[in-house]
Amino acid sequence: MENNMKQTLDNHETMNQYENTNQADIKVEKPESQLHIMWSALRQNKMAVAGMIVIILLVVIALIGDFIAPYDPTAIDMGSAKQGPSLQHFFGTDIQGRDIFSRVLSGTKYSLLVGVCAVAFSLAIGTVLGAFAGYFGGILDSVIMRCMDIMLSIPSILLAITLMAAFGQGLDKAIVAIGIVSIPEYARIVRSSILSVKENDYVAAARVIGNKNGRIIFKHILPNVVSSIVVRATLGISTAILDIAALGFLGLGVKPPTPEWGTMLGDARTYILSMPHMIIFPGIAISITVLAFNLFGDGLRDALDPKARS
Amino acid sequence: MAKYIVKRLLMLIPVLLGVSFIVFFLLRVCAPDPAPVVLGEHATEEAMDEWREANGLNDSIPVQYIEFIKGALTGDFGNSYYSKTPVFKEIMSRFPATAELAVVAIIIASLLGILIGVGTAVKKNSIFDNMGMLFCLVGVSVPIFWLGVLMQILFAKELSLLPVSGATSGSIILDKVTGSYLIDAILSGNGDYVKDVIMHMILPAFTLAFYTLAIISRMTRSSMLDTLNQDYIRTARAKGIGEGNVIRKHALRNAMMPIVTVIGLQFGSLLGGAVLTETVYGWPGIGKYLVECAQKSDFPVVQASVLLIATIFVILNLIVDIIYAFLDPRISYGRKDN
Repeated sequence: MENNMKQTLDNHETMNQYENTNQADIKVEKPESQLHIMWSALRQNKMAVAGMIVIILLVVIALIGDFIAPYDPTAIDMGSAKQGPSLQHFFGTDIQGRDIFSRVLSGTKYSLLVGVCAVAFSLAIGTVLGAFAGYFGGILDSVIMRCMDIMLSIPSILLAITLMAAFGQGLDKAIVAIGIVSIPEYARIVRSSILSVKENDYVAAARVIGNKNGRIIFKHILPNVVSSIVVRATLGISTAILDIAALGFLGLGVKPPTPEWGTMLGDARTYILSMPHMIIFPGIAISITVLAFNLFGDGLRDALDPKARS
Repeated sequence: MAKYIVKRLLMLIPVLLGVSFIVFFLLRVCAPDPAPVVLGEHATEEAMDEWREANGLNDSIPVQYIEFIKGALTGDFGNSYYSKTPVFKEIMSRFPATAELAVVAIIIASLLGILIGVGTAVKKNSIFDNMGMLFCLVGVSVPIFWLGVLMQILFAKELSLLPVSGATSGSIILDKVTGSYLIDAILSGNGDYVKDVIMHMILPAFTLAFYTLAIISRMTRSSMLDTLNQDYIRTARAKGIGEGNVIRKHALRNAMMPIVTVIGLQFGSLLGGAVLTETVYGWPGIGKYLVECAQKSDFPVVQASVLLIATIFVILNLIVDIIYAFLDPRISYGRKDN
């Protein structure tokens, strides 16, 4: 924790340095970009860096997992079914003799894909809805936000289950279902950020020089609220990965034998007492992935708002 | 205050209508025809048509929706496609089991969460604080259904301390009075029954509480840290008030507002989490039933369960808002002279 405190102090110092340099050295041509400030603060947060490294590793595994997997992740081999972890099968084999290590490796891409795509989906729609509601206000605002309230009044996993019951199983459908569920969250964040920014003089200036509404929103307002959205989106990926795992576990996500982690857990449920290794390894994979995104997201948030670390 | 409550209650009507519309739209308009799923792939076209007619699925969509709303207002959500029993009855017989699990879980999560949150805030940067925050981080990162399965393996299989699943042992037959297993066991007056139900409840309740516990601890910690930095805390200490009193009466009470919000909001996600926990532990509640029915396209059940849970959720949020007024006398609703 001393480390952490030191980091906090360091961070404040870094931030102060930036302020000082900016004040002292007026000739500075271009102020430090927000990204740069964020990065230097983030770099000092060991947990966030650890999370980031794990995420990079996971992306690499997602890309090459299918090639480095020792076995075909969907190949059935009844001869070697139900084996515990061994040198031949690091994580053991499942009820149909499929190599769990290969399945976990190969499953990485599904979780990351769902996480990123679902967030991108809800982010795109949520941003537009939130921006319109916040910028135009009035009836449009009321209608959009009441719709969001209605969606928020259904617990997210239940809404996702209902959506999957309606759409049917499948990776693409899971992405849309999980994406839809978190639209209100982004709409709310964007709306409130816009409300706090839109009264600024530069927005008025942009309007006076004849910019169209769409341009003002996307060129002048949104770039100023992008940081809070990025933080929320990073944490949103971890929620989305948990959601797809939950849907898979309930038998409503990706169709087996696709080696999606949650689906693997759902398949293995009947055998937990006889073959715990079928449950343990995919679960560890989910937990590590979610943890990495949480650490990285928390780090980003702290980097953006040094006050939050106090 | 009364005026405010009435106003908020009236505002629930459009929200619940909206929920019913979403659920109806998804399951009756977007979803594929349930007839082949329910009757089997080999059912004849006439049989399927007859079945659709019997379940009112041949009417036009607006007519179906109006029928659905009319029914919902009188507690008639149609019949299950499979068991043919009224959905409302089926759900109501299972709901108390879910409610008791959720209530026990939220109690566990709130008590432990506030305890951990206050402890970590007071002993900031200590080893206890580090451990507590690590625990919270793990708590929000581990899928609860996986945690549930791990607990089953550890406590039920390896240590044989607790039963694997279900709400009671097979040998016990409880009279269904309230539908809540714990209350029914107490009403039976048999100590062994009560013990049996409690033993069955420990794992699901803690599993369900885990995520919420982590969230409440985090919220309590940050809220307490904010409050502990306030001037009035310094004043209280300067007056010579004991540290325990400062923390309990001066800091925690003022830090409670955001904590109550989180507890209220988390109760809703707890109802969602119950779906997973009940499935893992075979807890005979509404969540397990909902999942089973969603898998086999028993849409009337899904519609009614989601609507019921959403109703409870919005009412809980309303209650949270009302509790605000009691916790914070500065807030007064509906009065203009403020």
